[in-house]
Amino acid sequence: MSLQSSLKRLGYSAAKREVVKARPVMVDDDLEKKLDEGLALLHTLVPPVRRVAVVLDGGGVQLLRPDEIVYFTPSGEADRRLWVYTADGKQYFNFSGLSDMQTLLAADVRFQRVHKSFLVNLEHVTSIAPLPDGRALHFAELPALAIPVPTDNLKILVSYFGVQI
Amino acid sequence: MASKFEQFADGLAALALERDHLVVHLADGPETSVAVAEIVMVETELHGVRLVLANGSELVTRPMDTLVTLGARLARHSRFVRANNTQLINLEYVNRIRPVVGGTYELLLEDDRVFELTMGFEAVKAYFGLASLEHVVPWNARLAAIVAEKLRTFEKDIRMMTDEEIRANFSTADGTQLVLREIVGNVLWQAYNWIHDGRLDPIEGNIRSLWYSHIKPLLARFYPMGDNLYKDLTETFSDYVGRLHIFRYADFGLIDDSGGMWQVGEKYPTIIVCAEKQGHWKPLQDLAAETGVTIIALGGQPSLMTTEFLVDGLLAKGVDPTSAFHLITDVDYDPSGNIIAKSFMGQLDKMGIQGAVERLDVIQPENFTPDEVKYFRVPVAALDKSSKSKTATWLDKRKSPFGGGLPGPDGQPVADGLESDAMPRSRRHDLIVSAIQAIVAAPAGEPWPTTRDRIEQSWPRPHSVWDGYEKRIESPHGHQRTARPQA
Repeated sequence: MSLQSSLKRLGYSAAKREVVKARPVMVDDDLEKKLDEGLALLHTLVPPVRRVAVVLDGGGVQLLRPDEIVYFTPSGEADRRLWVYTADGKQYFNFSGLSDMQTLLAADVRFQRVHKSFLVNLEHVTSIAPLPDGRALHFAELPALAIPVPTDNLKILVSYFGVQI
Repeated sequence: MASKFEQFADGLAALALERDHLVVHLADGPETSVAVAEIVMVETELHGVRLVLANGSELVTRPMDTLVTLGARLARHSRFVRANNTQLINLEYVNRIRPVVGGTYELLLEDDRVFELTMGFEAVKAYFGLASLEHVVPWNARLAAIVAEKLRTFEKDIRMMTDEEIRANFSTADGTQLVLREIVGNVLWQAYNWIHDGRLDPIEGNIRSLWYSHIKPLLARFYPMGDNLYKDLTETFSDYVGRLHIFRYADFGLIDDSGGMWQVGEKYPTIIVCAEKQGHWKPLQDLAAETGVTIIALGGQPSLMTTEFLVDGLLAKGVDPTSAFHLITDVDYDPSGNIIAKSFMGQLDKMGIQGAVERLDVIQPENFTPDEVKYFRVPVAALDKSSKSKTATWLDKRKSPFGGGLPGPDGQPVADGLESDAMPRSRRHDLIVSAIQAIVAAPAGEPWPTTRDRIEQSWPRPHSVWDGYEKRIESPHGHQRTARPQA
């Protein structure tokens, strides 16, 4: 039975009771992994961070849903701009540091710092290709994009996707 | 950070709210259940309320329902905020927040519908986790200005664009009119970036050179030529440098248009002696050699570019921009002299001097002899409305502590002034030197009014122009003088 249909049947209070009851016995890695999967699914349904604020052309604040964001990367210029790329190919920016953005989105397990310059929403990854010193993430929505993942960070992919990369 | 169990439980709670339904009684009879997530907006109707749903349909409830009762039933859903007197908005459908004049905001939905946000600011901030509704936080004012001014990167030299390309890139939203500031701004922006990247040689001329090389040929294709267009360039340039801090004059390799009539002091760089007239440059140089202060000959209204060069020079000498600065002025005692001194102080602030700048005018009526005042006083020209207004402001000591005019036949201040050159050069020199000595000798932390009073008391003042007058007139610095009409 899927998590969604289980929740629908149980309702919030009952589901929470079941989770809390289960906590003492959830000690093995497999259950921990299932909890990660459950969290990832929950985050696709209800993101823990509702919006990421970026600069609105003409003044004000533009609010992006975490779901539509593919990745963040700093501009590398003196202006300290953080670029935000979305699945529809648009780019936005704000002035956060990449680490600050990582902290903001820490509760959303989909966002992982796979490289010192990239914070990626792994839900958008559609393929992973080998590189001499790691892997490259590819995205169907942004075909020209390949984000490098150094060997040291492969464990992030293994943990998230649950398979050996 | 919350444990995974807690995160999971929180996620479930949020999901449960997401799936919540609201039962409403419709105006035409039946009850219906509406998914809360599908409600975009709830609005007051003459009788009852109207629910606007995501699929575009609308439901009007029975007359006894009000925005308050519906709001109470939706209270556990933080996504609903009372945006104004008549509407509850589901923030999940909002994707832009724009400030509007008057301290309120607009909420823009994904489908471009716009709603006023006149209340509930904190609730909106809390829902989206925002520190401000005005702009993102942290904020970079320079970059925001670049966005607001629509400065963009063009691979093609803007000057080489066809007329069609110029119209396509720099017209109003409806495409009917060219936006002059946007053209000028983008040409400057491109030149700035290309000089920075080595694609364009520095100008090594003045702003006129830039006008001839970059602006005039382009604008001539679209506008009748006249001085106003050059003024547009200088005003846009000055705005980008002084107010918006997008770039600096020096970034273009421009040559100081004052001819370099400034010099950072070797000993006391934070004491600046400024002269209104460039003809005073030689005495200023002698003064700098004698005392070690910073000097500048403004040549009338100060040039922002020259002030930028001076401030750069101060910083290059290691001067802390947060230090206290003293400005000893040698400007005419008239409205223009006052405005020149004030403008220069404003420019120092704009170009990065963050410390207080205390002003002391040497050309004051009290530093002239009675005969000098009698014979050298000159009426202030006030031919147009603007000049008359400036003169009226200068005459009013509450508005212009460094002004006040000279006494007329009835003892009332009249718009007469004194030229700086009416004072003997040696006296002007001595007054400035004694002021410098007093500033240097002032105990650390002494308030400026105390130092200033001490300087003015130490000056050998030939007379007060107001001596003997019955009318009491406020002095620039708060104490009073007695005034009586001259015979």
